[in-house]
Amino acid sequence: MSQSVPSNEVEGKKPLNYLTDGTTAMSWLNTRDHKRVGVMFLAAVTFFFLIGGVFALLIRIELLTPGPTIMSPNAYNKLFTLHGIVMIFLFMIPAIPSGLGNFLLPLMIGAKDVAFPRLNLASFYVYLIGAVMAIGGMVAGGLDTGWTFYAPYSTTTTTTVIPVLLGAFVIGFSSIMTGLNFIVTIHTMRSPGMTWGRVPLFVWSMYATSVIQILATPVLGVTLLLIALERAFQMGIFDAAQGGDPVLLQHLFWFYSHPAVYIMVLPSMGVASEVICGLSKKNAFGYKAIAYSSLGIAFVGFFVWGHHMFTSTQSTFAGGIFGVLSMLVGIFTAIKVFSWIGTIYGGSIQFSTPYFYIVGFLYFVIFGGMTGIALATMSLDLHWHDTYFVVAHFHFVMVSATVMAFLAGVHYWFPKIFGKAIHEGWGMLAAGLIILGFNATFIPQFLLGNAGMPRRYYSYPAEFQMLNVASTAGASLLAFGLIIVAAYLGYALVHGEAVDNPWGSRGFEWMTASPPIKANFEVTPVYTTEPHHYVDEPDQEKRHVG
Amino acid sequence: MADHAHDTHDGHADHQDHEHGSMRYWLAFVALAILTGLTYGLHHVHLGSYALAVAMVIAVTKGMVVVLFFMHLWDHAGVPRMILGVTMVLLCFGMVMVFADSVTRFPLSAPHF
Amino acid sequence: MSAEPATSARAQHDHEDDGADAHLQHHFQDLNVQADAARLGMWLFLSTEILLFGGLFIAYSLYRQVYPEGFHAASELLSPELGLLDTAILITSSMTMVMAIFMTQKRKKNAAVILLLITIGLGLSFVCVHSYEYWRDITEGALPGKFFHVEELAGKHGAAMFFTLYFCMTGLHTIHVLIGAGILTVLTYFTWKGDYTPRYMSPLENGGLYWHLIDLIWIFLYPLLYLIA
Repeated sequence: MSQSVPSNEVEGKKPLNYLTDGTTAMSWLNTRDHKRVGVMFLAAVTFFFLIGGVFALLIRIELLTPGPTIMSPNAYNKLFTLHGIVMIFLFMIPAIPSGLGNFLLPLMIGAKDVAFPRLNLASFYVYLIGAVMAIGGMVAGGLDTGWTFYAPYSTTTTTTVIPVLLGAFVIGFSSIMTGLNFIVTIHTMRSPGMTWGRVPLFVWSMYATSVIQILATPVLGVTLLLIALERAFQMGIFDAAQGGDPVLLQHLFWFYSHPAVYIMVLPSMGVASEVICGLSKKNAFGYKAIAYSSLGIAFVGFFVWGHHMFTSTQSTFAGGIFGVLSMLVGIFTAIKVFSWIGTIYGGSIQFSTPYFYIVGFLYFVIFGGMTGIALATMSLDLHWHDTYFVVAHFHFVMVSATVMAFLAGVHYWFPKIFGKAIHEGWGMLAAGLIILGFNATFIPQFLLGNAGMPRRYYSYPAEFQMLNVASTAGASLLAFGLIIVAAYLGYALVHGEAVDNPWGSRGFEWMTASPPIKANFEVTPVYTTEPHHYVDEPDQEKRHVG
Repeated sequence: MADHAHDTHDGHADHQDHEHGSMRYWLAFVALAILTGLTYGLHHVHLGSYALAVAMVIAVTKGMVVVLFFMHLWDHAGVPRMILGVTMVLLCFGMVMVFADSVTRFPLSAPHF
Repeated sequence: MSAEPATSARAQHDHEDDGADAHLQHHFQDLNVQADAARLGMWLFLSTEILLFGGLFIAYSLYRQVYPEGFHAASELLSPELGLLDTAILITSSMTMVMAIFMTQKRKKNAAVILLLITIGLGLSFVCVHSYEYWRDITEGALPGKFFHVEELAGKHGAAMFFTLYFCMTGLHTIHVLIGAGILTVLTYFTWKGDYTPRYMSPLENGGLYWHLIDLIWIFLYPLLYLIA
């Protein structure tokens, strides 16, 4: 802790904060302020989350009955592609890094802004341009390849592949810009006293995420370009008829897209670390273990892509190596889970809405992660591959965990971002509904997959109907919970009670006013302790540092 | 001009740039020219299966010269070197695994005509 | 937004006032930190460029292993001598680039501008030589994929794949050369205006790094594409 919190409740006129300092539309659209860019990203990703969620519901409604329900098979194919692309490229990848991360990262390390503010703003507009290209292409003709763009289907289908590919390519640039900005910021802009051993865990997870964004995204870029060229000129690079190798596309695609899974889940682990420390009133148990395991996941995440290809013609030898390497991710994740539980243990727990979400997060990470270990076992995967088991697995570990952490982060930092309190009762109710909804949606899908129902199919045998109905019912519950969240967050935004730090958190981002002033800090902060330092006696402190 | 008085930053890289002359660039240029000639010349010598390995060793050496001297990684140790190192490790792993996959595949499923 | 407090503090601190402080952005502590940040950002960007080409190198290693004879035969259609000329041009341009930066450090603005112009000229001549090579390939029928129609290689499996990769890799590389030449043109203008001083020359250094990366990639493309035979 470095400096006293500048008091916000001066009588009479309040000091300007980043929200009130400039209120014209131009002051937002042309801002260089990382906080405003973060808020704009939050608004955009929430919008795309809503759209992707509507698509998900439509898919679930279609699957209520074994035959046609509300749409044609073609529309169904386009819909699940749309759901995948919107949710992955437009919601999950930018949600926590570009939204919450942009807002919090400079605050957490005592910087005035990110290293390249203009690039930061550009990354938002590039993201929007990419979104318009991708969605425009989808609306113009639709795309039915699924978000994976596997050849030879993607190179031969008559739907509009190229605009969507280029859209995804452009969104990739936005991701690279954010990652580049974060790494440079963390390296060069830490305040005095902010040693590597004091960097908040959220920032460590952002660092690891950024490494993946920078190193993996370009490979996706070149892959998408090659598909576009293949479609335009039939160059044969992925065409078996011309001696090409369709499996090469899968290699290149998953070289990006498996690490990309950690772009989605590592930030949520960072949120979990912050919320658990802040609401358990304890320094992180195993700070170094959590920090290094983030880097470990980022690094190992690059060496495991082949576990998506066990049933392609990839060789058994390569598959075996990838399968074994995949287990390493489990080790790093387990280190984190043990450390979080160690942090919770003996803490002074303030059980509130964000905490509820984090409990859900831990459950989904453990349950979903364990099914992942099972799927990484080659012999088992041959049975489960391309069934609903895989769908349920990644919706548990990747989607549920990310959404849990995103919501936990939004609730935990809502007072920080907007200076307004959230209604706890509604928050807890919605959190309960959402956690229940996720379980009710995806547990039936685990069972369906194990019974052999393939993913992406329009129709299914009648004996699968009961579980499908259960899954759709769960999805409705989930949607209902999210509507409640949207309602009370919207209310709190306007009518919420003004608060500064309702959690009494000693995370570094709370060391400035809520909402922060435009320059973040009145004076450059100097850090003398690690974050979440709740213990004042020096000998006790050692125990918790671990 | 650039005297020691003007900057107090300890061992900052800009400093070292000021200190050395252009000699190292000329040496690097000559080395690159010689290695380019060598790689072209060896192309006319029959090396059989070693040709690729030799060509790659020369290319890596040339790359190191460019990276260390023209791109100043000789002076800028630390993070930029780490970035390049990690990038090369990942790229090599990518090539090795795709290669390992294609040589160990079930023959009929490997790309062919 | 205002940079005044930091600037005036620096200006008093420093005896020489070369206008460099005007380039300090408000959120950086001083010009050294700003230069470090710029360099670090550039290296991260370069690593994305390396991996962008990396996907193509991965494809190359796969297909070369599958079609050794096809690649061997197809490579003979390329001229190693023209490739050597390409290499010589790029290496020389790298040398002039690094000397331009060196001259800026020595405050020899005019020499730097001339060296930058030579660099751009060499870059454009590389594009010319390569265009000539493309024209040669196209007239011989050495085109990518299914457009490939070279009589003497009719039965060689993989020759078409070689040209697919050849056009993708050198095409992407040539686009980079053109972008690099564009960037250098802008940098030349600002160097001529006298914006860059030993204390503030990050844009020029980063432009140089980009140019050297182009050279670096070519160093690997040359033996892999031209010298298989």
